[in-house]
Amino acid sequence: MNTVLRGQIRSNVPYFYYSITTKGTLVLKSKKGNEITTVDTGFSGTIALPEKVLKKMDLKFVAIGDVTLADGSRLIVPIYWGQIKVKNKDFQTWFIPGDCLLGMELLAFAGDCLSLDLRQQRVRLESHRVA
Amino acid sequence: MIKLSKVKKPSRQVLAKVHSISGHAGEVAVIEPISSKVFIDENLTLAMRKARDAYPGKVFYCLRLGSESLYTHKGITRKSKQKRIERSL
Repeated sequence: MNTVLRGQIRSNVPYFYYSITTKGTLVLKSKKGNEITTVDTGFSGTIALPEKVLKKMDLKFVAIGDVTLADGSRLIVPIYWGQIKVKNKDFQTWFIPGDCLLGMELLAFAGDCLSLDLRQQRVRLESHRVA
Repeated sequence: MIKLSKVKKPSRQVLAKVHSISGHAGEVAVIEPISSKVFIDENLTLAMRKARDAYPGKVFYCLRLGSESLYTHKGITRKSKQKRIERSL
């Protein structure tokens, strides 16, 4: 299997790294020293980012949708459309405002297997697909 | 700043019709509110690609078929809800 992303587990929270390019593309990375985003398997969406980060990106407001939060409350959120890069693979997907979270839909797009090494404090996203 | 309340939503009749579509439970529907055209796929990324190809520059309404919300976020609940749970134990 190919490793798509490597990250760390800190205080029992798994993280990958990201940066925003000058063209406004979100790049998910395995390198430390970039910003961190939580790997959130309880989030069924793609990516949530704080508004100040979304403003740095080249995003289009494309839709609204109803979401359910952890406390059961529902709200309507704006949905933005933008570019993302994961290990030399570019694609477009949707973003919402919130905490820095990578959800299951994005993980399924970028890879096939998410592994958590709780002893070594590492998280890894791997793919069966040929690069 | 985007005013979400000013974004046009599909009519109740259109929403009811879309929710009644069978054979796509769990999939995502992206609706163009003016034409009421619906784009369905297994997730929002794929459905939105179809919708944006057909109606570039439009703002859509999204829902998950057979569900009250487009996506969910599981986690810790608010204190008030926790207290209600504690009282019920």
